[in-house]
Amino acid sequence: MTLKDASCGDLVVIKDFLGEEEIIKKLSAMGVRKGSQFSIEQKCGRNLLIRNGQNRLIISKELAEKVVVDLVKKGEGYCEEISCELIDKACPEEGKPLTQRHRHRKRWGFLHKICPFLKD
Amino acid sequence: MKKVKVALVGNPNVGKTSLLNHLAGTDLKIGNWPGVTVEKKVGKTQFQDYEIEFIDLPGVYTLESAFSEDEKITVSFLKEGDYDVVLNVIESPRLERDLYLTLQLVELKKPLVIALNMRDEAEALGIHIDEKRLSDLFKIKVVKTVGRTGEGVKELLSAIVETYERKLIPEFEVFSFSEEFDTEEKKLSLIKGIYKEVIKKPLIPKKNLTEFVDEFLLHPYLGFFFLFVILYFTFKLVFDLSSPFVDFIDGFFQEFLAPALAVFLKSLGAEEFIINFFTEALLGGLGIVLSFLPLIFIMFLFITLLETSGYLPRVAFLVDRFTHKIGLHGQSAIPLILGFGCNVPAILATRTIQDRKDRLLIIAMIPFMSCSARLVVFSFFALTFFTRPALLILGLYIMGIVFAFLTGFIMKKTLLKKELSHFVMDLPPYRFPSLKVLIKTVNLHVKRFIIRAGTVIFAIAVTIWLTLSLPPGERELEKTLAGKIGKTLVPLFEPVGLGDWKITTSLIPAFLAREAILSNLAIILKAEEREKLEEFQLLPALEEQKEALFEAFKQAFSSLFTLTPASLKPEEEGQSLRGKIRDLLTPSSALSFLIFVLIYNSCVATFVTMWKEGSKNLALGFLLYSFILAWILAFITYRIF
Repeated sequence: MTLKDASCGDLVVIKDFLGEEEIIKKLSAMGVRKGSQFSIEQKCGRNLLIRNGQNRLIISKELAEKVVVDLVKKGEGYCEEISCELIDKACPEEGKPLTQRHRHRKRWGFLHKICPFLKD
Repeated sequence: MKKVKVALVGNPNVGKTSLLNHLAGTDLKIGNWPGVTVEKKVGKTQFQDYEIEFIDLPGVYTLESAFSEDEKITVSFLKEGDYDVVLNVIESPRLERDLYLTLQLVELKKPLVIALNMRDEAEALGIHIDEKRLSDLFKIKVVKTVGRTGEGVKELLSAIVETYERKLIPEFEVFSFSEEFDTEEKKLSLIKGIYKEVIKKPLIPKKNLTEFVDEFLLHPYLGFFFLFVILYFTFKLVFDLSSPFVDFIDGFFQEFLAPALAVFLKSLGAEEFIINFFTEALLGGLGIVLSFLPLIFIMFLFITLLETSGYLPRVAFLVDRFTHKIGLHGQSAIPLILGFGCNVPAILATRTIQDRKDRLLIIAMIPFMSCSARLVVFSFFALTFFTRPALLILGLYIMGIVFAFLTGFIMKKTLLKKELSHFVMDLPPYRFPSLKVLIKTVNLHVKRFIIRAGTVIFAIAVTIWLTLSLPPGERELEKTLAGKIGKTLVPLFEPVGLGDWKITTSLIPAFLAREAILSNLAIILKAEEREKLEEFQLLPALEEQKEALFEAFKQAFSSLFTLTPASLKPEEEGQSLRGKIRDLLTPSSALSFLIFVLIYNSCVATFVTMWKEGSKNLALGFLLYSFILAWILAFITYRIF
């Protein structure tokens, strides 16, 4: 699994990195290194808030997709992921029919602002 | 005296600048690296027989790859720059992370000193670093410091001198940097080994203040509430605390210095044109520049406080989930909000944004944020011509925001196009910066504004005065150079309903300050006469200024106890001017005029700040773009309504 797939509250250990990009080196320099354990504190919008000891980082999901991790401990209890769903789930999936909630939002023009693929 | 050049290197937010403030004392300068807008801080100090020059390099995590302009500067300076000693500043609580950069600095084969900064924070967390063991391992000097208080600075200076004299280049007993040392794994293992060797920490980490505060400030719902409260009070305090002093400086120049100088020059037998040149052009120009100082000072005080306390990255995290949908970084929220008060400090506040393209994009959006100067014009015209003035003003504000985002969107897709970059950002712990360091940093920014932007604003102010006063001795504004330019502009403004030379001429000095539109119209329409020089008495006038200064302090202090921003309350203008403007404009041409004032970047201070903080092309291009856009929108408005 990748860091992006980890749920809010999970404890993971970094196994490997996908790709040889320069950004991977920066990640390593910032403390995201093979063998280090990170807990996922929040998953919001396009970002994850991860933590290892005193080291807390905000990392985009695109980048988290390049970090291969192993699950050490499944998250339990309270984790702050709720508000992010407002945005993540605001858009209907492409090609699928609109739900009642989506129709309501569309009527107010809200969907057009945040779902660029949506057409009338 | 022997000279030593020291390069300060470290990860971002490790307290390099705070340490530099203590190392260099008062001799600290802020400037730019050649050819770019990245800040360069340089300081000097004398210690023993040495003059030590410190160069504060932008924070980097690694020397292997540089992404931003800041990082490129650090990497190229360390590889090709002129320096004698490297001072590696390490954040003690995060030693393991910072050692990655230290190992890369070792490979430079330059004399190196390590400052284990934030010793107090590490100890509060129960982390103890054996600096002697670290020193033995690298065979260099290691000093524990506290950047906030300046603790350990003397020992650090002594270590720098010793390192320079003995050429203490780091060596490794347990590891030689042979060809084998080229894999990432070996480097990381070495870091782990060093870390384990020198550190003692509790098995269960202590819960610190940052975690407790973040439970509220990064909370999915409460976080936005606190963000709103913090931003609102930042906005309110920046403008409410500064506006009484802005008014005082304005009054001091116009009501005290100018008449005093006029009386003095008159007693010397100077001609009227010369007197006016000194009192209106030179003192007037200086007054415009200095009247920005309280605003810039207080704005930077709050921005530096937000930045050094560690709250700005939290703002970026909270807001980014919304702003990235329209291609903007989360940190863009603060400069854009400050733009509602004054565009100049808002543009200066973009210095906190690291990516150059993102920064230019925000700079191009800020002038559409309707500032308090435009509110004065809006409220006057809205009350004069329209039945629902509040609704109209709100509409104009919203229109400005819409065009800001539209411009941002267009620029993102065209001129400032860039691939979607991976986003990774460190979340530093909350810190209380020392007041001394805070004030010093703010002073540096203010000095920089005076030198970079103030000089140009002053020159343009003098030029505009000349257009209003040439040929010498001409009293009729219609016959001055400005009047002639105004008349030449009439055909251009005729299609938007502003075809009267009085209106077009009033727009010329308005380039100095938007609120000047009203006073210029008043003079042109003879609703107000130019103030005549009455008998000036120095002591009573000085007494008045003393009272005005006291009043400014009183107003600023009392604004601390109000909830709404007092500086944004519209002021009432003379009734005679209202009547004369009603004769000059129709409601539709007045609306067209307001839209033109909203969209056109008609403010010399904003223009110059855009030039200095962004680029010449951005400032000139934006001036043209905003003029064309303002003209088109004013034309549409005039034809429809």
